[in-house]
Amino acid sequence: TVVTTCRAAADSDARVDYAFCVAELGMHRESPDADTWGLAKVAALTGVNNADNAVYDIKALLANKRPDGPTRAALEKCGRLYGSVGFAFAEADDEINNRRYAAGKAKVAEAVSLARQCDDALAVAAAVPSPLAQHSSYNVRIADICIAITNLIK
Amino acid sequence: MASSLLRSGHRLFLRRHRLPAAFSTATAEELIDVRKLPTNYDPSTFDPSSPSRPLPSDRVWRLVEDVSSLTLAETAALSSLLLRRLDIPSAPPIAILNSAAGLGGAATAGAAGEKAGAAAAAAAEKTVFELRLEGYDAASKIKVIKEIRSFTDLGLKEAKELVEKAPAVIKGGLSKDEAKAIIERMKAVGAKVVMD
Repeated sequence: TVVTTCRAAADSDARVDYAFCVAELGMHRESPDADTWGLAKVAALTGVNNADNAVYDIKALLANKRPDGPTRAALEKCGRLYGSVGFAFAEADDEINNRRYAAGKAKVAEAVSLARQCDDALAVAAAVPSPLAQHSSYNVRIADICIAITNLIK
Repeated sequence: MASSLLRSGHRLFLRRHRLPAAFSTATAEELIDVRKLPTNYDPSTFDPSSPSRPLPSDRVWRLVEDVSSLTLAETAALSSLLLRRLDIPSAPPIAILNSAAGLGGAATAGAAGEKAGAAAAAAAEKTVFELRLEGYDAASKIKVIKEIRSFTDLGLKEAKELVEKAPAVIKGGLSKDEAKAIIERMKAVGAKVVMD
């Protein structure tokens, strides 16, 4: 179950936020019937969703806020980076689905690295738009959950 | 020399085969490796000194050897799987016209003609369709991706790529009923799909 799996994940890895895990994974329609393997895939899919939402918000910021040069450049870079984050999580899902857990975790780690590059770009531009800060935080937490749950798969 | 050797009808040997002792070294050097012949090779017109198409890769030759060894049943299975994997629509059935349409009395000929016309009309009607994703609600993107995966063999990454490049063909080789059913399912998750 979501609760027991999240509990086990949090117990195995201090980086896992138990409450966040239950709340976020519990929303998926596949979750109630999912085993550990299934929940690992749900976590990866959740990562895809967050990344796609980030891309959407970035496009909205660029269109509506009309940011200046440095901020615009940073946001455009972030748009590309979160696009890649989404695909990295998608590949993680595919790898986990094919029972290649090490490769799946590597893709999740790649997603984290890509998102961090966005944070760095925004830091250089001295701009941290609110939606992106949330997506960045969410990205790290869901990645930790995905990796921890993948480690639990027997 | 190689050209005349080929035209004389001598058998070709692969280099990896052991040559009979009767062959001299000089003769062996003139033998042709069939794997190096162009794919459009024709003995009557072949000139080994002329430029030719790029040689098939070793990978292609390995595939040729493997496929050649398949049984008839295996070949049929391979064909079916390739059509599915490459998303190639199957050929529509061909109507066979009544060869006796021109014989008999006027009434009989007329009736046969009508049947032939109906058959021709039936043959003209499209029986195999493909689906094209025109667009989707941004908020429903994940649902659209998951729905596409439910009726294709795509992984999540492939499905995501396909959706993001819409408009794109998402499925081919479908009957009309199958196509309509999928259109309804996709509409339910916020995607616009058309049948073509």
